[in-house]
Amino acid sequence: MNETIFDTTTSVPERSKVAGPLIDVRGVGKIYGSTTVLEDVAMTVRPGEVVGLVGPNGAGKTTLIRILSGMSRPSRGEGTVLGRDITATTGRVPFMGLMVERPMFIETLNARRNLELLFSIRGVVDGSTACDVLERVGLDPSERKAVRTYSLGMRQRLSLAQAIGERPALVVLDEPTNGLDPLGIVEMRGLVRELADRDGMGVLLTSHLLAEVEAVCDRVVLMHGGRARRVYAPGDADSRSTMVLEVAEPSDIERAACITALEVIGREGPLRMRVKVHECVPDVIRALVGAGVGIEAIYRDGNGLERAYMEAVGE
Amino acid sequence: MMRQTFALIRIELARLFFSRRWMAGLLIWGVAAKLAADEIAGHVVAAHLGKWTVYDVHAALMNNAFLVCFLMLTTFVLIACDSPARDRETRFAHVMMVRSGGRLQWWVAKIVPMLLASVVFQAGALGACIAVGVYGGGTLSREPSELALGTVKEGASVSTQLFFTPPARDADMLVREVGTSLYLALGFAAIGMGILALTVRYPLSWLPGLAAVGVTLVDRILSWFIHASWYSWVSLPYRLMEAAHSAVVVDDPLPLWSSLLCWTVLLVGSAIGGARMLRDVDV
Repeated sequence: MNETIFDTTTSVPERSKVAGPLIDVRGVGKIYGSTTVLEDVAMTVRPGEVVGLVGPNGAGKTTLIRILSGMSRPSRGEGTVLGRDITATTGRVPFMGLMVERPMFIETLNARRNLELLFSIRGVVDGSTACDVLERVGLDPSERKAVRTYSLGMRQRLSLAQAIGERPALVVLDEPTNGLDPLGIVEMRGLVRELADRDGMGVLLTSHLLAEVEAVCDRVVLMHGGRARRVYAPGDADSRSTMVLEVAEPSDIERAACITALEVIGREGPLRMRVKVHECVPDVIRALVGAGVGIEAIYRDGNGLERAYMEAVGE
Repeated sequence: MMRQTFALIRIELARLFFSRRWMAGLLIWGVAAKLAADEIAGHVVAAHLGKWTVYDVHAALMNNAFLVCFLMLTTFVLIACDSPARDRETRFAHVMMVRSGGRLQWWVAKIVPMLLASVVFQAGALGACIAVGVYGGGTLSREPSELALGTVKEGASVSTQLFFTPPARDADMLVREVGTSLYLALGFAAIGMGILALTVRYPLSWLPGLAAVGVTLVDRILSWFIHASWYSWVSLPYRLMEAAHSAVVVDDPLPLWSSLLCWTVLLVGSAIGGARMLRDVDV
């Protein structure tokens, strides 16, 4: 077959109108020489969904993001991103928002000018968008300072702004909370949820902050050694039924273990245990009180992702 | 696709031409022009010649292998040829590529500013020669000087020396030097293009500078050992010299068409080769 160097037959990359999943890949692998850095990864991201990618350094997260964003071709696997075949050799790149780690810009220009120039490439938004999106990420549109003077946190905000400003159907965020102060992390969390819930974007993000990932994501893919070890869903029934029970006396532990409405799945010291509840929480509390258990506190286990992560990485 | 490509080119032009690296260009132009001006001014006095012109400075500079290859070519490459590698190292290339819609558009947007930069760089060198020449006592006359024509004067303490190909007596020196500048721009662009293509395969921001120095250095070393006439046909730095094509200056001149063909093939081949490689590499 006489293959062209690049496919230039398609005109301006349009904002995706993909009906199904934005990302739908299976068996994705990447081999550099004799080193396998990614193996048999499957992933789906739908509109309005926030999916997290977590794993230790070298787990293959960045390699996977490069493949999904069209910067790298997989050695194995198949699937589509915004309808584009990930194995295609056309050199085309899907229309997504991409926030890279340690972002660089045109350092001599201010944030607004940087965005105006970047947005001028696709030409799908008007001139006022740069100001709007800068305000949305917490930067001052009238700031005249050159980007080279920005802190890492400000760069992260600007990088997020360039990724979401053109309202792509899919946004990929690599370590978006890097360099942000606690307030910035909270704001970022709210913004990411807003992108999915209000704007209907699909969001794929990576982070080492497990609590943040758990708080913002609908699903989390746990990666280790180039493989997707497990998919954890913070909001699913299994995760929601795991509670922490704190009692007044050590003997209460034994009494609580006899109740059928719950199942002890782990003890954490003499007065605290993790339980899986089989009934609604008020009924469980009534059963505990009826059995004479001195309840100090009962609350949803907020460290589910952390536990899943530890299990996935084998520690 | 055209729209994105033009927008990308506009951004890359702004990035390149508003770069502070051009300060290095200014410095090198000034230094190179001063060295060339001093060289011909000294010779004019020793050879008892009449006034030299600012265009003599440029013509002499353009035929000084050290100044052109080591100083100017390296500076040009450092200014204009490391952007693809640097952008891939910093992943700014990713931000641009997802907007461009394709890798070819990104590649074209890297090539066009480099080509323009080669012309601007040579224009800057010509401007520096004129400025330094005027400051150093040269005239702005566009007629060939006695130095340019290789005039021999009685009583001179030095024999005549051709710094460059003698022009015709009625030649317009400004036009001639503009032509020389355009020839050098083509040569610089071709070598720059080859280096850009190299960085597609090896995206290391220090590689272009090393490659530019390496091309000249390796050529120098090889020329010590290889004295055969065929070597002048494969030596890229030698082809950059305008006088290499002159039967008056060298014994075995290269046909000008062969150099124009060489630079064109290198330029076009590297552009296409780089595009092909870019299709397959991980960015």
